[in-house]
Amino acid sequence: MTSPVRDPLPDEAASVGTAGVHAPHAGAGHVLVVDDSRMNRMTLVRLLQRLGHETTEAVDGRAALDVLAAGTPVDLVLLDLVMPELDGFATLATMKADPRLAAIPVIVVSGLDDLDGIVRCIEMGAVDYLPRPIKPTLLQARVEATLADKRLRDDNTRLLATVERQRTELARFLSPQVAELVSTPDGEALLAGHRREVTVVFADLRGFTAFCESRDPEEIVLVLREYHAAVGRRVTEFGATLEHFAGDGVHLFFNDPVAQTDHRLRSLRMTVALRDDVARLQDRWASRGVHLGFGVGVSVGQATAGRIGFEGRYAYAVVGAMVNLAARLSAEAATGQILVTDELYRDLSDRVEAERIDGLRLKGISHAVTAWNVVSLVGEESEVAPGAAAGR
Amino acid sequence: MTLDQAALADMLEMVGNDEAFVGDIVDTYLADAPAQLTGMELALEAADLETLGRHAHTLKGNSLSVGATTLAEIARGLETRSRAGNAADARAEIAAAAAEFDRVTRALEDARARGWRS
Repeated sequence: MTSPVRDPLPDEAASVGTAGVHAPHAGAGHVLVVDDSRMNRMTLVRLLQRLGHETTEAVDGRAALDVLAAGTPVDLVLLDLVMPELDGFATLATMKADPRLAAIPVIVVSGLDDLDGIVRCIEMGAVDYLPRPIKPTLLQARVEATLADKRLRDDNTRLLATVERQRTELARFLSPQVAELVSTPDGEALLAGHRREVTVVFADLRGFTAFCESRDPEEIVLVLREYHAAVGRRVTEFGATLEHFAGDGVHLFFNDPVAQTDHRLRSLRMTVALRDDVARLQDRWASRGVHLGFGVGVSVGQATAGRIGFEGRYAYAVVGAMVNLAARLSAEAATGQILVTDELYRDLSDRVEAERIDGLRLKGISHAVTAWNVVSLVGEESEVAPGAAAGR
Repeated sequence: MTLDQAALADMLEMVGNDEAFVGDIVDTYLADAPAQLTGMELALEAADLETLGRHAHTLKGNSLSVGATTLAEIARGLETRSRAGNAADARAEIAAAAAEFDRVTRALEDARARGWRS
């Protein structure tokens, strides 16, 4: 480590910027000593090195900023106030205005006859001060407390950056709501499993399997990409939790893990909007000779939600009879239909224009089921005439 | 007091009776104080009271650290008055500081001979 010392004495030059006579210990740091008085620098440097710290010297504020700008990994600055070139106040102000330097703690070193100057520096963001003449025990206490505090903050910053990175990475694979769970204190409890009322949506393309068998992979991937983009946009817009994306099949739910008091209506708003989106895609696909339908099933009820799977491969999922019901309704839906359960329809009957469908026989359900096909939402403009979508 | 022996004895105790450490600090003080005295004279000639005050500030602080109480007081007066833009007595005060520094030098050499102990 070189240091900008003017005319160092030969014996002093050897000691400048070394790790000191003692081996660096866990609490050791790199201290930048800024003082125009060679005697003061020497006193501080010698004392700091006895404590095992690494040191760099600067003869004034300008030289100190040069050391910092050169990327020297400084943990703490001991700053004199009265200096030529750039005094302590200006140095401190420059550091605090620079986002790269603002977090480096500064301890002001000054005679107590300049109490006003010390107070001004504390107001400007200096963490502490050391009175001159220097008392080694006080120097040790203040330096070590400040370094410990900085280490804590550095660890914290690193930890937060790691969590943020993991969350961002997780959010690419999981639903953002689920990724958020992993990094919140309440998350573990929710992941462990809980019962909650949810609205579940299943949707898929009709005729997709046959389409896949007869077309080039490039064309299939293009269609899927357009379809997934449309679904993804609505999932985000309406805050749906995406459980599952498998080819053309989509499984979503609402009101968990994030509570949504309007989850029933919200699910219908989303599916109606998505049906309109897919109708536009169907026009585009039709011009390429691709004919695919779109059907949706929606149910509401109590379900168990949480982390389901096995070690190494877990999913955040909802399970329950009502989940099966939504899947069966989706399978039953003709193209353009959004089939919802009787319970869901009755709850929203004043908001929904729907056609009653009686006597549905659904796999795994012993009795005949009544469902409703949602044509439109009352008082909300559909972007595409429902008839046009239903007719496809 | 030209030299407060207690200041050096304290310093010695604080650095674990490392006589060489105190010796190095005192050597640095003796080597640098003449530059501060000269700096004050040159600044006064150039009517640069800010620089005069800064040199006086450094001399004050360094003198206090080695126990040169009287010299620190003279320097403090120079610092305060030059900061206030008053250079009326500065020439005489700088001369007084230089004379006091000679006494401090002799006192420090005596103290060194006693191993910095009072």
